[in-house]
Amino acid sequence: MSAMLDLEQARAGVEVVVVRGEHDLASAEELRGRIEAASTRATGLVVDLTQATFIDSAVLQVLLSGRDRAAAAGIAYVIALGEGTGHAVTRLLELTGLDRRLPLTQGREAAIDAVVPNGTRPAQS
Amino acid sequence: MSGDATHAPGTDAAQIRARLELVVEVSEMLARAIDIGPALQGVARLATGWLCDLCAIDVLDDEGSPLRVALASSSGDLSTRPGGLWEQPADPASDLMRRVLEQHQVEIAPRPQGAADDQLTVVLPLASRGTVRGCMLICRLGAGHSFAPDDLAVAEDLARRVGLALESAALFDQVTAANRQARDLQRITDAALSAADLDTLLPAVLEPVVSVLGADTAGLLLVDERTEMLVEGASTTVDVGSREWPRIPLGEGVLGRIAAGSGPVAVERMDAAELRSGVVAAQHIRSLAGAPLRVGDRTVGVIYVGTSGMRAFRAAELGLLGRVAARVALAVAHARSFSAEQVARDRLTLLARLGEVLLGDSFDVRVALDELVEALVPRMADWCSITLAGRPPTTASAGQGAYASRWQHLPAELERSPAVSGAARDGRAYLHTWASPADAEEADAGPDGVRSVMIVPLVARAQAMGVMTLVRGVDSAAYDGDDLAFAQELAGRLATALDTARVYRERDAVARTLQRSLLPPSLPSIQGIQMAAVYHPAGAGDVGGDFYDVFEAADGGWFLVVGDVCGKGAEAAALTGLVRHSIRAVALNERRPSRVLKLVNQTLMGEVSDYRFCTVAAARLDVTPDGAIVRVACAGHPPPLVIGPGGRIDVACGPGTLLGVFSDPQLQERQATLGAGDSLVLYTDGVTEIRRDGHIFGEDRLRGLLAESRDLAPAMIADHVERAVLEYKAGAPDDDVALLVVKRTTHD
Repeated sequence: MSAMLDLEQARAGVEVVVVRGEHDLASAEELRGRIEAASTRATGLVVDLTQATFIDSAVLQVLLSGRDRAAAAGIAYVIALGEGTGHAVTRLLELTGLDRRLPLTQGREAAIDAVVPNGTRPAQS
Repeated sequence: MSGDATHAPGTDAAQIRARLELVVEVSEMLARAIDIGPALQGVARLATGWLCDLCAIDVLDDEGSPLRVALASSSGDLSTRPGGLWEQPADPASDLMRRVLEQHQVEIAPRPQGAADDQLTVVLPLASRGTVRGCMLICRLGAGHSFAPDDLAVAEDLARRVGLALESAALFDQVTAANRQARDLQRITDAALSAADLDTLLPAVLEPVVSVLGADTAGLLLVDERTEMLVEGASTTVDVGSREWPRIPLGEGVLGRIAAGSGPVAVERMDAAELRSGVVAAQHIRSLAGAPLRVGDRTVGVIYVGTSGMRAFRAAELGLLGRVAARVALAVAHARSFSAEQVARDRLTLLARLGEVLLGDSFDVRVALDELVEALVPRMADWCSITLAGRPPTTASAGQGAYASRWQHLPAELERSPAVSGAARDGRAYLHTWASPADAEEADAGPDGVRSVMIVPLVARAQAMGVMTLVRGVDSAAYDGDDLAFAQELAGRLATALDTARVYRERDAVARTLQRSLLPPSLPSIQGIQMAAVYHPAGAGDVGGDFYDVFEAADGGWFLVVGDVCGKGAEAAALTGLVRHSIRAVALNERRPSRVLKLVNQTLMGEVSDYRFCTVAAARLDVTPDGAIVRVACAGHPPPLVIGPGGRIDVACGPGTLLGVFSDPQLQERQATLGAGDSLVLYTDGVTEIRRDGHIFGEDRLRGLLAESRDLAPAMIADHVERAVLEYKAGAPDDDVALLVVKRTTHD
């Protein structure tokens, strides 16, 4: 069981908070800290759930608060899901109706593209 | 050489040979000698055969007094010897002897008054390397006999050889004495080093000191560094254990003066005052030798030996005592730092033990107190107790050996003792030491063999919770300020832990009370319906975020609700209460569960902050003659399941938006009919999201459990699921679990 959080610089101004493995109340505060810190620096923020196998409602709270914080800071905010995302994660998003409320994309690269400001987006993507 | 000497051989050649033989024999005799005394006697005997009629050898002792060590007569009958020099060892004060001893001259003794006319005595010095070690007297009897020059030369040669032999013997003695002293010192040093603490060190050192110095008693007093007084000690003849030594200031009294001095001192005759009382009198010492125990320029005590009779200690003995003192001082300093270290280590151990007891997984006050008092004995106390206020009070006590039972009622006795009466109540820490029984008047003695007591309140947040009593008996050391400070530290930690435990207990009680208020006290009985519920809060003492409710609407229908609020504890409980009561309020006038949830969401939007959301599955149940109709709505919640005919599992509704975050939740509602034997199961994600080793319990597993228990009563279905859940987690689930099973009975 791996439960890790990483912060990566994807492109200029874009930070990716990578959520791997299982996350619940125990690590939710740390995730909140990562998202808040990134929100003060980045122009675009991706929460990468492509390797997350489990999240609980505490993590959902953080994802919700991150969305509003990013909006308040005027930065782009996208949550990336992928094939590696655990069923428990997608099921929870579905059950809570957050799959329609949170800015979700399929794939990490698509998420990064989505948060790159228009001017700096590569011509070909 | 005159030929008329009585024993002289007849010819010159024979005489020369005889003299040579004498010299050779004497040399061999002296060389073979292991002990110089018998050898000198042999020399005297040889000389009387060859050289003279009488021979005596006197040797000076350590003090310079001559001792007669050999005397021989050619006749073998010493009773016929003439008087004068032969009666006693030569008097070194006489002019004759002074000349012999100081000027190394050979002297012809004057004829003493009354002596026979035919007596001639020659006195020869026994000397080597400029030191005279004694004298040899040779005498010829018989009128007209005298010593020829050659005889005198032989006599002088003999005297020189004896002188050299005496020097060797003296050297040997010195070496032997030095060896013995070194051995004695080693014995004492070994004794000192083999004992790590003062209690064993002091007697171990004193025993060899007594035997080495041939004294009747030996003792040792140590300086208390704070008061500069000689306070504690040991003696070979006085039992220190049961008797407190009087404190002696440095510089006062014979021992105080020796301690304050710089080297060993002998006191041949004690002051009359010393003989009346105190340490010296107690040991019946008349003559004493003592030396300060010094480490660097610090005085740590005094060591002494004493005799019950008068005795003059010699310089060599004082020197030895001085060297003993130097070693003992080092050993004492070492032992003291060792015991200081030991005390510090003991205290750390105690604090660690306290931590273990107090921070253990299951903190039980009763058990904790028992373990603590056990840990405090005997390191901190011979007997101790901890009493917590309450009705009835909680008390734990422990004692060493017989003290355990003997002092069981000690706190009550202490309460009657004027010195510490009321200490348990007034919130201050007490330290009281009674005079030792030997010194004390009856009235001053502690109760029932108590020497020293510390009574320390247990105070946390300015509130007295109880009292800790630590007691030492008359055979133990009295408590000091350090001990009290440490006891207060212990009491502080204990009180804080007890207070925390109490807060937790209160919180537990509040949580249980609150929890009860959030759940229906019992499930209602509904015609044609059987119901069962399972509820497990995640951690003891925490109010869970899950809840369920079953209540009747104003129009006779029923609402079934299962919900889950983010988080735990008081805040979650407050939100749970809000949700539960909002649902009840709204459902009074609203039949459709999706509408109910929407209205509850509006309520929550105004109340909830920090994305603390809530998920709810709500069902409206109407029992009709045709069956039970359920309308189900889900707000961010796992959908309720229907166990249908043959164990088919159907989802009772589609997903909907969780409550409390969005002002426009999308909520669906679905209607289903429960036929006879069908069940509706509402549950929280605590059932399905249990994780173990990276796997999740999951909805499919739940569906399987429900399918196989379709024909069971609701309580059995709930039990079946509960068992599986607990087994999967192998222990308490770390999330709340709520499950509500509603079954349409097969006949009504």
